[in-house]
Parts: sequence; structure tokens; C-alpha cells
Amino acid sequence: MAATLPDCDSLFRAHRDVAYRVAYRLLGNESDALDAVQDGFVNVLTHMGRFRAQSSFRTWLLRIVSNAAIDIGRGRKRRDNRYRGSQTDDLLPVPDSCEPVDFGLERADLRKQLNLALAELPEAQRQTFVLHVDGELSYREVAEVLGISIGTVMSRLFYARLKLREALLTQGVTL
Amino acid sequence: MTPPDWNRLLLAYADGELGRLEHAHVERYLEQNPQAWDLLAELEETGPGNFDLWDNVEPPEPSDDDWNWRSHAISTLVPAPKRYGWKVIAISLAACVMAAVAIVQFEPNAPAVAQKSPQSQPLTNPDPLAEYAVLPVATAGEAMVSAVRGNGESGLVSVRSPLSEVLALATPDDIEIENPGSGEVTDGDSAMMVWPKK
Repeated sequence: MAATLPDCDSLFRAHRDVAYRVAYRLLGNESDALDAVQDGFVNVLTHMGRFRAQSSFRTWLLRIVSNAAIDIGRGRKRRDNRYRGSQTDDLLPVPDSCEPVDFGLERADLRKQLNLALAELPEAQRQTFVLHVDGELSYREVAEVLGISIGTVMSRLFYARLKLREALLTQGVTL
Repeated sequence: MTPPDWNRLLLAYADGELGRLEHAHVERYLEQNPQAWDLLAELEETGPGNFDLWDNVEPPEPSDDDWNWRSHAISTLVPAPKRYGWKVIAISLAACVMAAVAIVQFEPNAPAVAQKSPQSQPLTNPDPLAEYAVLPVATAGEAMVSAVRGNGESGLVSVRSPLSEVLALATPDDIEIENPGSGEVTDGDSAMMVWPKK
């Protein structure tokens, strides 16, 4: 049974920021991230009856939003590849090139560089990393969201962190 | 015994994901292996604890208009909860109609029905109910029902003992009279079903 409208609104207000942060970091684009958040919330609120409280609402939501973001990223990449006539299998997102002007240039640049560095990570590592850092989920929660073992979470995070560091340093970002 | 994976343990140490014992274990390892501090520092640089990094790369914040528009879109796209009220009303109406029909047919003074009442005919036929396409079984004031087999063609399903309200209808396929003299009605397994009230 779907949630009633007041429930929808309160849930949306309580969790939209973290959902957006995860989606943005996976897509590197504000409007796509908002699309992913919207898709995720529609999916979650439509199937509220399936929520069993074995996990927190946030972990359930982030699983659906992050999967929606990955689907959007894949679809966008396929469209981009068709447009370019490319046949690569690369499904990494294209970072946003339209940063808002009210952010400092340095900060916007840094964000863009992080998006580029994240885009170089394999999809599974990127999703694991983003759920941990931006979703603020523990290893156990990330494992639950992705349906993998905690050992796999740790392994993905370990390599993601080192690759991300290397990519940022290559771009001249001081850590 | 599997040797500890120090890379993973250092990562978990950096993220504060270790229990007290494991934490102490890693600290001992770091004391004995000073070169491990370098790897730990590298892991911390891109970890969630590096606020200098993450505070500076916060995603652009959507405007209130953006959020309001998305909120409206979500409330539009989420289907409304299913409402069963009309079904309950329809079923209740149908049940009332069926009950009214049953009561009218059992009315002893109703001439049209009196001829078809099982109690108004001598029960000599082994299956005196066979002539009735649909058998009005009983009302709460007339019978006590212990079981009814199957669903009547008219949609009967009411198995209560004692019967609290109007039973409904059954077909001859659902019940049969085993001992017409006593008025007992049983199903095929000889379980008593209906006792006309004396």
C-alpha cells in the first residue's frame, strides 16, 4: 500500500538531501541526480508495503536511489555513445559541465575534478564508495544495500580510495 | 588459520569500523610496522573523515523551487492507496438481496414458494432436493448449520455454528438429505449439516 501524502512529504523532506548527495556523486550532474531522487522516491513510496523494517528506511531508499542513478547513468552513456557513434562499453557518467555560477570557481573546479576522478572508478567500487562516504552508511549497511559481504565492501573501498587518491593527485588536487 | 588482511583492517581502522579488540590489534601492528602509517594516511585522505576535502566538494544545492517541483511530481506519480469501500458496499448489497430472496422463499404463507418448500412435501425421494436448482437452506431462526461443503452455485459460503444470520443458498450438489424422516441433512461424508428446527 502506498504511503499517504503527508507521509510522502515528511519522508521526502527527511531523506531527500542524502539521497540527492548519493545520486549526484554517482552522476555528477544536478538535474540527473534530481531525476534519480524522484524515481527512487516514487518507487519507494509506491511499494511502502514491502518495507519490512529489517533495515532502516534510509538504507532501503539509498539502495533504490543509487540503483536508479546507475540506470540513469547507463542510459545517458548509451545515448552519448550513439550520438558520438562510439561503440565503447564504458558506462561511466559524464561529469556535469554546467556548474552554477554562484559557487566559487576553485570549489566548482574541485568538485568537477572529484567527479572526474570518481568517474574513473569501476561502477561497483564507485557505488560502494559513494554509499559509504556520501550516504554515510556503515560497512554493514553498505553490504546490506548492495547484497554483498562486508569483506567485499572493504575490498572495494580499499581499492576505490587508493585509485581516487591517485586520480586526484594526478589532477593536481592537494589532499 | 587465515592471516589477517592488514589492508582491510587498516581501512576499517581509519573509518572507525573496528571493535575494541581489533582496534587494539591494529594499533599493535602499527607500532611494530611503522611503514603501515603511510598506507593508513593515504586511506584517510579519501575517507569520510577528510572534511577539508568533502566540505569543498559538496554537490550544488537544488533550489527550493526544484525541491517543490520534485515533491509535487512524486506525489502525482505515486499511486493513491487502493480503496476497497465500493467493493464492500457492492458485496453487502448483493448479500442483502440474496438474503431477502431467501427469506421470501421460506415464508410459509407465500403461495409461490410453499409448493417448493422441502418440508411441505413428503420426503420419499432419496434426494428430494434434486428438483431445486438452488436450495434455500435456512435462516438463523430455522436451522443450525455445522458445515457446508463447497461453494453453492449462487455463491454460498457461510459456515458458522450456530448460524448467526441468514445462511444463504446451496445447491443439491452441495448438500443432500440422508435421513429425510428426521429432517437431518448431511453431506457426502455423512457429517450432519442442517437440522430444521422443530
